[in-house]
Amino acid sequence: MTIELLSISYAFLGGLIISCSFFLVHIFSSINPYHRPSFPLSSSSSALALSILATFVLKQETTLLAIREVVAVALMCVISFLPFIFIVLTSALLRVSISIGENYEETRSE
Amino acid sequence: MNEDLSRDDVEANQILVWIALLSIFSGFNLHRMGPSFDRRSLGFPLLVFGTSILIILYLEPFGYVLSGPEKEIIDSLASSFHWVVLALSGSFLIIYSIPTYGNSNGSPALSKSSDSFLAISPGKFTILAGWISLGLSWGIIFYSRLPSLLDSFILGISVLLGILIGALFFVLGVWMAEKGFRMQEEVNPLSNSEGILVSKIIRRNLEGNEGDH
Repeated sequence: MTIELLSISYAFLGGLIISCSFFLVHIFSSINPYHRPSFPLSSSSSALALSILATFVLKQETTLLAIREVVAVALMCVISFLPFIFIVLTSALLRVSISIGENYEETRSE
Repeated sequence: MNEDLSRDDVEANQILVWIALLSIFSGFNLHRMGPSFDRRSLGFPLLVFGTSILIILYLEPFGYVLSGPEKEIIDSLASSFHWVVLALSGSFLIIYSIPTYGNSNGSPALSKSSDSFLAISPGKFTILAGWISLGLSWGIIFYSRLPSLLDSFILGISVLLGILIGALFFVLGVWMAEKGFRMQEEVNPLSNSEGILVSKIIRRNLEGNEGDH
């Protein structure tokens, strides 16, 4: 087991930065006259600021490179996690395919 | 001088990766806005724009210049691209064959009309093609040297936890906004004439125009 606690922290912080950035982009993209974005904007911004601060503390450097590295790690972790999601998807499709086959056999016997 | 120039090129490429990711985020969000907003039409072009930049940056002239964390992102995306495309296309083919979700070609009722058991109807064919595609994608996953499964699982769960907490912050903001703007006073009960009018409108909507006037 070679995985370190620091790697897990980087992955977690990267996920948090990606998520907060996504919701900030979402707020700006979907702004409209009936929107009240101040609270979601401030909560997502504060979470983003906290995660960036934590990244600086863990990385012990206050450069843009630290944030880029952490986000890159998180994106790569998401990509390497995709096969696990694919297992769930395959099993769901298998179940559906089997049920289609059973329906087909029932209809044929009728 | 040349060293400085190449460093500038790399910086520009690195910025392009982030612009591409931002375009994909924005495109997705704009596309999800719904038909009531004209901005929705920008969603798909932005998605295509972001994806095109990532593909161009992976191609030879630019791929060699790219370095740093951005290079790792592009390489990681490229290494999974084949099986993800196969998996998605296979899944769509199978879902397309299901009468509930897709085209009715795969419905047993239609399949019943085929004379021979071996005759492949469009539904059966698409399911078969879908499973071949899924099998190929699993083959690529096993063939490619993946990092340790346990490491991938733990790190993936950590990222998902981070994403979930980010979403919780957003939901908290939305909840606070809705709570803060809730109507403070309860509305007065309807008067007799208002009650009659409301019941008349409801009856008209339920029974048609017969009870009108």
